[in-house]
Amino acid sequence: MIALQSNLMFWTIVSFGILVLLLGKFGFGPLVQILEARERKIRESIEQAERAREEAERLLKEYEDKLAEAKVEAQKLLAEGKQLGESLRAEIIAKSEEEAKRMIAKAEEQIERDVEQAIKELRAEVANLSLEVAAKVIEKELDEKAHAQLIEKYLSEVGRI
Amino acid sequence: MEGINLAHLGSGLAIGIGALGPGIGVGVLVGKALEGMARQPEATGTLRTTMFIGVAFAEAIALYSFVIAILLFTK
Amino acid sequence: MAHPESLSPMAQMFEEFDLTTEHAQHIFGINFEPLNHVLKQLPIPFDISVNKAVFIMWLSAFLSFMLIFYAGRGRGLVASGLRNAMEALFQFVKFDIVDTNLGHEGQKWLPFIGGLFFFILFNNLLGLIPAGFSPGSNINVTASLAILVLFAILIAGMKKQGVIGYWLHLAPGGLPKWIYIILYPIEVISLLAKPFSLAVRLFANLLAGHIVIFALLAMIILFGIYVAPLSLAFGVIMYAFEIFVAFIQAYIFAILSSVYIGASIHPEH
Repeated sequence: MIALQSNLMFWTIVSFGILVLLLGKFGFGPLVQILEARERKIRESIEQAERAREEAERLLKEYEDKLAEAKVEAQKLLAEGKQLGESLRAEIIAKSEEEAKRMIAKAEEQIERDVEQAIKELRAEVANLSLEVAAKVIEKELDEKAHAQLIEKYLSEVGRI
Repeated sequence: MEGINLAHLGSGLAIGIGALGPGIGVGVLVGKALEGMARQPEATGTLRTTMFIGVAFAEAIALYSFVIAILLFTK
Repeated sequence: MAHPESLSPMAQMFEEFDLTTEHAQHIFGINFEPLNHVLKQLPIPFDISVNKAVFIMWLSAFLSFMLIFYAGRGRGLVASGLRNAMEALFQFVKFDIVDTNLGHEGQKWLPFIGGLFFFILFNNLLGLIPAGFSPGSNINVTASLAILVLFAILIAGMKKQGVIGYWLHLAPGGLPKWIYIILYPIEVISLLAKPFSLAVRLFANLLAGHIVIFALLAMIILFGIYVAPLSLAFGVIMYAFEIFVAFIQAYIFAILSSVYIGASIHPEH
């Protein structure tokens, strides 16, 4: 069972030796290179992904900041607009009230003036009418003499004027 | 004929008795390695490698007796 | 093997493993006898005749080189199929076997250790093909590989510490002088025991696996056809286990070699 067989030993050493020489020359070199290339590629990819993630996070943060800023700005604008609208409204209301008051006052004045005018006219009319009536009444009762006397008196009065 | 029968008996005894110790040894070894793996799962790789080497050493002793058994058997 | 005609089936099987029968000259329908006639004419002082174990070794060396070459020729970063499998095996050899044990010197020893791994692996796997032969089940093959490992250990150590320095530092320093008389032979024996155990481990593992399968199937002859289903079932189970063993033994051989070489390069560890 356990006997020396030189042919087996010889061929083992020869075939194994050739295998090792060939592997050392052609076999393992490219394989090691492939593995290293893959390792490098994977590492680069991971680094790139990491960088991209960081970039994305930075951008996200930036956008969030911007968004928050914009929100604050919008709030401010809204508040301002509201205030402006409020004040404008108050102003308009005040103005229109004033206008209305002024118009009312004007109308009242007009009315008063009209009334006064009417009264004046009425009074003049009444005086005329009463003068006419009085003249008619007096025409009948005044005699010539008295009449003349009265005209004289009026004339003198006019002359004084 | 007598001598051959005795040699065959010796061959059986050689592998039978020779396998006892390594059998126990491999059992203890793997058991302890498993214990270690259960306690420290992160060290599983190293433990497994070391365990295989240890098993190889323990097993070699049984294999020596196996070789002796073959030598006796083919005597 | 005193009486060839009265040999039991088991003993006949051992003859087959010895490669001494004329069956050894044929494999897969190829006959080596004409080639051996030519080889005998060569002026070489020892027998270099080809038999089926030699053929399987050629095949395995060829296959391992071609497959690795094929994997290394691949373009693109993403491998698939056979290339992926070879790359996975290679990665395993490089990172788990060579780099962890040899460190920075790993690159130099990678062809040797990787060659050992793939050569033994393909030897074992080809040996599992029916009508094939497992060269590892002959001790001459494993012993040759182990001797190469021994040389590798010695060369690695001598390169690091010098030829004389290596032998001087074989035993740990700082002990009383008389201890070295005992310690030095022990260290030399342990140095020689390393390749010896490597050779015997691989040889015995493969031989034992084949013997177990053979014994299971031989039960059909011994006990009649009725045990055939059982012995076939166990035979298949053992066969599957043998595939596992083929990988494990290649791994063990490679990793122990690299552990030994690594210990020789870094003696302080």
